[in-house]
Amino acid sequence: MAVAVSQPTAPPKQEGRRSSRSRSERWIAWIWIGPAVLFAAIFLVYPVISTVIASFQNSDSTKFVGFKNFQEVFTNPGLLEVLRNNLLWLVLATAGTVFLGLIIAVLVDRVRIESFAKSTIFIPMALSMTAAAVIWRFVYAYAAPGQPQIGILNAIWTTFGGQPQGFTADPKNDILNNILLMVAYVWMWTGFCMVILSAALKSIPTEILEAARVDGASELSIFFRITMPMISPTIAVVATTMLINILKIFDIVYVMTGGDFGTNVVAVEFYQEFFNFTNFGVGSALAVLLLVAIIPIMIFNIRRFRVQEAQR
Amino acid sequence: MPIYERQQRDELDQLVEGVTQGTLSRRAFLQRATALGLSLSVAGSILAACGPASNSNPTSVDVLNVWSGEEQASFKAVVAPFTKNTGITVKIESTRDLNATLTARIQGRNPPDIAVLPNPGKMQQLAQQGHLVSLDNFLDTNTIQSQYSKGWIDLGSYNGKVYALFYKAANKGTVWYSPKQFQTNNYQIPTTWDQLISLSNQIANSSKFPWAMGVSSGSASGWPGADWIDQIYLNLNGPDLYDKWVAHQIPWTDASVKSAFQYFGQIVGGKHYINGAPQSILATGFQDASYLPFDSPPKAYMYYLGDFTEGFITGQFKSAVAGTDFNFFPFPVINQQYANALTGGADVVTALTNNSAVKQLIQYMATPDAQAIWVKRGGFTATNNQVPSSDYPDAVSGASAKALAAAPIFRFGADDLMPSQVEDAFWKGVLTFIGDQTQLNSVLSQIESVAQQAYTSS
Repeated sequence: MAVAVSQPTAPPKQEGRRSSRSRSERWIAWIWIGPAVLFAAIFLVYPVISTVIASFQNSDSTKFVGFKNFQEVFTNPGLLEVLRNNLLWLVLATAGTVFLGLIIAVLVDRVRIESFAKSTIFIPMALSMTAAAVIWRFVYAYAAPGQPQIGILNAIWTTFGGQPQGFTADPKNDILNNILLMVAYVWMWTGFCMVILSAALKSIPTEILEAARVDGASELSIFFRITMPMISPTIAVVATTMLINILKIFDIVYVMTGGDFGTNVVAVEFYQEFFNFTNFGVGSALAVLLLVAIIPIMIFNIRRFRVQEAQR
Repeated sequence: MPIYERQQRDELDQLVEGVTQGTLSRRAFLQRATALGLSLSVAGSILAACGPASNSNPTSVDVLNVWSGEEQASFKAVVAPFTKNTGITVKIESTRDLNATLTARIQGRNPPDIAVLPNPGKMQQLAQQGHLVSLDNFLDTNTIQSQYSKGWIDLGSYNGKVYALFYKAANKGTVWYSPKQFQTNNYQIPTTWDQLISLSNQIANSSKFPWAMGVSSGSASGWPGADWIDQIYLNLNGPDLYDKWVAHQIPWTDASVKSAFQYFGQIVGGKHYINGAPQSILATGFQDASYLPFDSPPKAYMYYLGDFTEGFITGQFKSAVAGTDFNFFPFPVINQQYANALTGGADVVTALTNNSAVKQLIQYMATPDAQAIWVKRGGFTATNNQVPSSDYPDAVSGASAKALAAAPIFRFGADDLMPSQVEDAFWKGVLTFIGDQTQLNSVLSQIESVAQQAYTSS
């Protein structure tokens, strides 16, 4: 991933003379990208169109019902809760991974055990989301009072004299349950953000920082006034990657709670609508909503990519 | 390319004859046909139209089920004699996520030949969508009517035709306890609900926990609580109102439903009834909770779940003796009018392909001998009433089967009869209710709104 250090200023240059590209070169170009385009058309474009059409049909996809499925999604309290949870995930989990990654990258920058610390934080990335979900399920595990506690959190809690808590199993604490699930996600993905932000930090020219120190700036104001603006394109890259990732969250929620106790998210819900309830209409409507939610982020990404390409 | 010459036509006739009789392989036919001057597409369509009828004598049946481990081994033992006698192999595909696999295969036009479904609600959905083959052609009506009670036949019917064979029944009117502990502590087995409550209070007052309960079960969490409510509803309100409830002819907010939940709430929220309630109920698995009354020292004294619990108990406590270390008493009477009413469950065997091998296998599975094989291995209650109760491996499972067959009022578990969305909302509602009983009204209205949506959408 190319990281732009300076702010984009030059407008994209004009294309070269058309006649300088011979026709055979164009044909060759098409042949090279042909298979990829074909693949994308069959496995991406066609299913998208088919899903959008299904979202306007009934549960069997046999007749059209207009916007009824979307109406259902926005009025059914169960489905509204699903949308709320996705929003919670988007805001809290993205902020969590990016900020935590940034802070760790900055702190670890000056330390001798830097590579050891970075490797340790990066290791959870090697797991699959399902494996991470299983691990954290055990961390939160509950046993009745008086039984041996196998969940490490409850083990610590009861050693200090508390009653064991059913961490993700209390329907009253639905916001807390979501946050507990996000902890598993943040634990996994902070490493990713940290590594990329750390690389960006290192690409800041040291002269600027030295000059600032010589001028008497404190570390905090260096961080806020120099470091952050200089790596803001990288922060944008990392944040949009996390956003796209989080919108699709499925494994962690499905494995840890199955979507119960107020933690259901869009991906788990449309999986259940498709396979358990065979309600293809509502399932497709949810999928289309996810697609629509991702579009602004994709546009932002593509614009940024074009600008970067133009600077080459 | 049109065939003009007589010689060419004769040769082609010979080729087609060869391929229909099976003396010529398809590949050879295609080669020679194209050499004669036919285009590949024409040769292909001739092959499709007149090719050897490969489906007339299938030699294998594809079965999709959810069983694994011990249960799967027992199923294989059941079909082994069938394979030996008929030469038809049974290919078993096992999956924990039956709904997903089945939907994907049906949509992909590659359904299994036989699917063992978890509940009749799913069977009704599939029958309505036309994916199931009616079993009326496979099974002899007279035999079935004499060997199966009317309840099972009616449950397996949709629109007057039989679509399902019920297999591996479960008696869900069983409360498990340790006779040894009851004897030591001089507890009396309760026969009515009031006696049950006073026994629970008696145990609670001596600083012990009378009940074990656990409803955690992955994404299906809540179903053991729904079993409680189904059984209470039947005992409290009777079969007619039960049927109306299942068919959504009375709303979920009806007083009868509310009081069933409240009875259940008496056990969930009883003072010192369950250790760590309500959190422990939500966070403990239904299998782990079943061990509590049989531990030494016991952590609880009673546990309610279907008769398949015997398998959990004997699996955990290898030296437990049926009758002395564990036994069950029937669910207590709430309304004397409906005494000894039972809810139960069964696996639902359905056919999706219509061919002779499937027909033979279904016929075999319906016979009492086939069911007796699994009965003897344990963990199986037969639906066929010709299986003698002496075949059961111990007194406890025999008593459970007898109770099921002799029940004056029997109903399939209500949650399994409902459409999947409603069942799911019911289970989730049970979870919310256990967590906070004051939410009962909003829980019921939430389930009601899902039910209305489910019953009106096509």
